[in-house]
Amino acid sequence: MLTLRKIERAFEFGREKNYVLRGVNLDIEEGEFVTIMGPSGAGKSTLLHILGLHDNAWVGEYYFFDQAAHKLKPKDRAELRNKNIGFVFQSYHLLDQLTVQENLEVPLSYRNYGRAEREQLVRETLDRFQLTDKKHLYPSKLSGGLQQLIGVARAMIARPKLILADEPTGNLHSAQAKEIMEMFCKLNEQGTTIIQVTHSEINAGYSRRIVNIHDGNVVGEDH
Amino acid sequence: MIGQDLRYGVRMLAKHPSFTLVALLTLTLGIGATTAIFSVVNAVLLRPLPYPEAERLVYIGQQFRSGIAGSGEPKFLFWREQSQSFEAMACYSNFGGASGNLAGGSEAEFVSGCRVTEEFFRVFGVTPALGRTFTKEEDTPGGATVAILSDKLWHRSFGANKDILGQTVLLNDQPVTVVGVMPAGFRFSSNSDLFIPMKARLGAHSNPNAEVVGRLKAGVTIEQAQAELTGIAEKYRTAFPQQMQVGETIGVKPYQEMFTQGVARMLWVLLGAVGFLLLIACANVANLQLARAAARQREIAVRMALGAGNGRIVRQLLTEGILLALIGGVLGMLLAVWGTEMLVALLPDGMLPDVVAVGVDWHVLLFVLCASLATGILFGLAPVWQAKQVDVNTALKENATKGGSVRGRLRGALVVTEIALSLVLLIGAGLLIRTFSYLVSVAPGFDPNNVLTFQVALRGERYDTTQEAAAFYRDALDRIRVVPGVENAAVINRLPLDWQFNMPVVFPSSPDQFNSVQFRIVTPDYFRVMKIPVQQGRTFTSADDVAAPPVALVNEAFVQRYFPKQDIIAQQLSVGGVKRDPMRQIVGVVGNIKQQSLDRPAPPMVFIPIPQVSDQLLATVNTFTPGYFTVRTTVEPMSLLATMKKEIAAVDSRLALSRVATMKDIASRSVATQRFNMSLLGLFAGLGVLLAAVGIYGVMSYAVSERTQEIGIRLALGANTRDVLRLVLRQGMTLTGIGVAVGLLAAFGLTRLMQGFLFGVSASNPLTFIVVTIFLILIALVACLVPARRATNVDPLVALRYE
Ligand SMILES: Nc1ncnc2c1ncn2[C@@H]1O[C@H](COP(=O)(O)OP(=O)(O)OP(=O)(O)O)[C@@H](O)[C@H]1O
Ligand SMILES: [Mg+2]
Repeated sequence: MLTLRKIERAFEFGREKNYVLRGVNLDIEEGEFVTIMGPSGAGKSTLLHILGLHDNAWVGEYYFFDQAAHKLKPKDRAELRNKNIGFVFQSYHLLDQLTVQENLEVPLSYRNYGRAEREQLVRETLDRFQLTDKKHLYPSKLSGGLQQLIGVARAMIARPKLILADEPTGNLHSAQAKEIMEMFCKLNEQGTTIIQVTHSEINAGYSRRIVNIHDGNVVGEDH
Repeated sequence: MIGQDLRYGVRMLAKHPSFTLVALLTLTLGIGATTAIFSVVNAVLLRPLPYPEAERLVYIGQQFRSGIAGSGEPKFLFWREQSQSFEAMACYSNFGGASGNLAGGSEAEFVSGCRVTEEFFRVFGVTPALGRTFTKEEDTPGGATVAILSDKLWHRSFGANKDILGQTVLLNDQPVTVVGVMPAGFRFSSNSDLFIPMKARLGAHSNPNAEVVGRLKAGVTIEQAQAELTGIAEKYRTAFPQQMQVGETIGVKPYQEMFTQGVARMLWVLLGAVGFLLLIACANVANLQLARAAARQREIAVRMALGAGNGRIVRQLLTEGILLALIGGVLGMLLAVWGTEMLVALLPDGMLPDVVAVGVDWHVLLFVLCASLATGILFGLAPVWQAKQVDVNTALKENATKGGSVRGRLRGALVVTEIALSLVLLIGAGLLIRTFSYLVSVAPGFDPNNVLTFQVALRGERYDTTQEAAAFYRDALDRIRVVPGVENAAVINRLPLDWQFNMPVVFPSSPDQFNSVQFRIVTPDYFRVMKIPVQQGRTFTSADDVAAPPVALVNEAFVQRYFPKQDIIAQQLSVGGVKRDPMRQIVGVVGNIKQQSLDRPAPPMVFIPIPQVSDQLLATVNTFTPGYFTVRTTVEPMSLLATMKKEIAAVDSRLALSRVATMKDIASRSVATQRFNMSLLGLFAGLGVLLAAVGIYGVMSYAVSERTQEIGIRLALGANTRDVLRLVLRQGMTLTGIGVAVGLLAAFGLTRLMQGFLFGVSASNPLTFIVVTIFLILIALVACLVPARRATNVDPLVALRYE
């Protein structure tokens, strides 16, 4: 599904170039549940952003199925991303001034969905994540676990093939984290490819493959 | 400590140049413009006249149901004799021979004089700088011919020579002895060069061409004086029944109102406009401070965490606020001084009464300064009262979203206010611009290009008879016509667009019914000089002289009014009744000519050839409106002025030219008030919009920085550049929309107050409202676009990094 070859990413400080990723090679098959691990500052988030096609400042080769993402114009990359990828963030990043239901609708509003279709998707998703009775509440009123559940629901709603999650349980206690991980497993069983970054061995245990990053390189894999 | 605060304050201002610049701009414009216009308004409307105990001065006049009017000299004598309420009462008039050609000074010149009664100077509480005022004997018929000079004339024509007292000068060929000179500071409603005694006679016919002014006795109220005068009016009616009209009585009002009634309404509108501008400026300052407060929330939280007490932080913020305010205040003051001068220079002639001197009003300046300073300081302290609510820890960790949204709403409300106020200003200005452009597009009925005009007053014994005057005009015109660059020349007693001169006209069918029409005496070529079209019949020729059958010309408005269906050429009229003027054959009809102003319909008009005017009628005409020469040129009209002086002097060296102007100037002067109103309100509207644009720009910039993270999230969730642009613009345009809605409502209500200044456009003219609204929305859009574009550059990587 994903093929990365010699991916390099550097941040510039004045005249200095600071390489965060140096020649990363990585292959991920459709339907996998992958955990990326590594010490702080290793470049995990940076890699995830590249996978998520947010970042445009890298060099190397990146194939998404048969599409060469590195050759796409920013606009086409955005389209590729909107069609295929959903995101879950560590601090949820729900929009505080919107209700649960409205938060779920945000990704749909940036894609070509008709009104009726949007409403139906929102209804289905609320149902599926058992959030229907909370749909008119504002996120800040909810527990962290629930908020992240909404985050996952939001990442899912536009039916992406791939979900990227950067420390999705970093702000949650273990019971809540467990729920999220179980949700990931469920989604994965239903066919969604999942790549998560985590520091927790327990969370990593839910996935079927672990990629270790150290100093900008993939240094080993556990299956 | 203070020194340290100050140093830190300067550094803060220097480190945020755009904030400092915008804040200073706002303060300067707000303080400067507000003070300048308020100084003018204050001088005219609010400040007492520059006379001792001016509040005791009252204007007294014939009171009709339609309003108060001037009065006659004999009536005045009766009023003065009968009344007890006044310490002194005086009458003055610009008519009746006080103006004219003055000889005896450095050169022959035209002076405008004022005939006054003996107590005139006592009423105003002035004493002459040199010599004395008039005695009772001098102010009675047959008394000595004496004069008091104005300081200006004394300097201009007599080199401020103190020996002038007791000397004789020639006024319209009459010897007059100078008995006094007024002090330099004495100003008076009409711009008079000299004063002569009125010598009024009781029981004479009472022409209402004089004004009466009184000084109330101490402790007497206007109401008491009014009650007494109402009784006196009835006594006069009994004594001279034929001189009192039905419903006529005597009215009293504060003398100050005489000066303000013409301009008061517009000045109040301008004052309102300037109030709006001040509000906009204050809203802007508040907005800026709130924005900065938000930006400094963290800094202040840190300082508090490090142990700074509230007092310490308040002092720091105050120092900065006051520093800013002081710089803005000084710049504003400079603008106020300069702006007041500009305004006074811009004022059309006659709009501001001569009696008031306008300077920057320091009270006003202080008030405006305090208003904007208070706003700035009050809102500058926002971070302090916010810091009290938000606990230090959360403020340090994250931006205080809760306080932020309250503040956001406040800032939004301020912007809505600014937009609404500036829309009202803009619509007001738009209506005046439409009025003005409509006005200048009105055809005056003549061709004002390349016409030189000047007045020559024929006064004194040499021009007692019509034939003497006609001979002078003939000789002068013959000389002028052959001057190179002159195409043609003529004489008329009143120019177009230069007020009016009425006479009663009667028709043979009803010889007792007087019809008041505009009356002109002319030489034959007048219509050719002014290029006034002849619609029917003929104009005058040199054959229409005293020996020929009496003739008259009328204009279209005259035909419309009096003979809409008959053959006009068959009709006759007489000016002032057959006892004074023969029945005249109407021989032609000319086009309408705008007389009072471009926005009023052309009045009915009658023209008579000068040689056919009776001596008595000519004397009357000359008293009020001495003849004007009109000269059509093929060259720049003013370039011929020196030649004109020479040619007039060649015929009679004792005559002076006055009121020199091109017809074009006169036309332009006739719309000077409208131009002034338009420019001023336009200026305010422009400033208002500028400030409002700055305001909305500030709010949106701040909103964008506040929403950076949200924008990052939305980008991560699939939003593209256009979505982000739309997001920010929607926020800005929502504020704009609310502001516009409020502004439109307010404008519908407020522009009605302007109805009287509008012409050719209604106070709720839809086109103006629409165009102006679109204009303001576009401005707001541009102001939002800059921060919106910045929003599209948000990098989700950066925005989402701080987890
Ligand atoms: N926008 C940026 N500008 C400059 N440097 C950056 C930027 N983003 C990341 N870096 C640097 O790149 C390096 C890798 O950062 P990254 O966020 O990918 O690490 P990480 O593995 O996710 O660490 P953590 O476990 O702490 O989240 C760090 O040294 C960081 O300082
Ligand atoms: Mg990270």
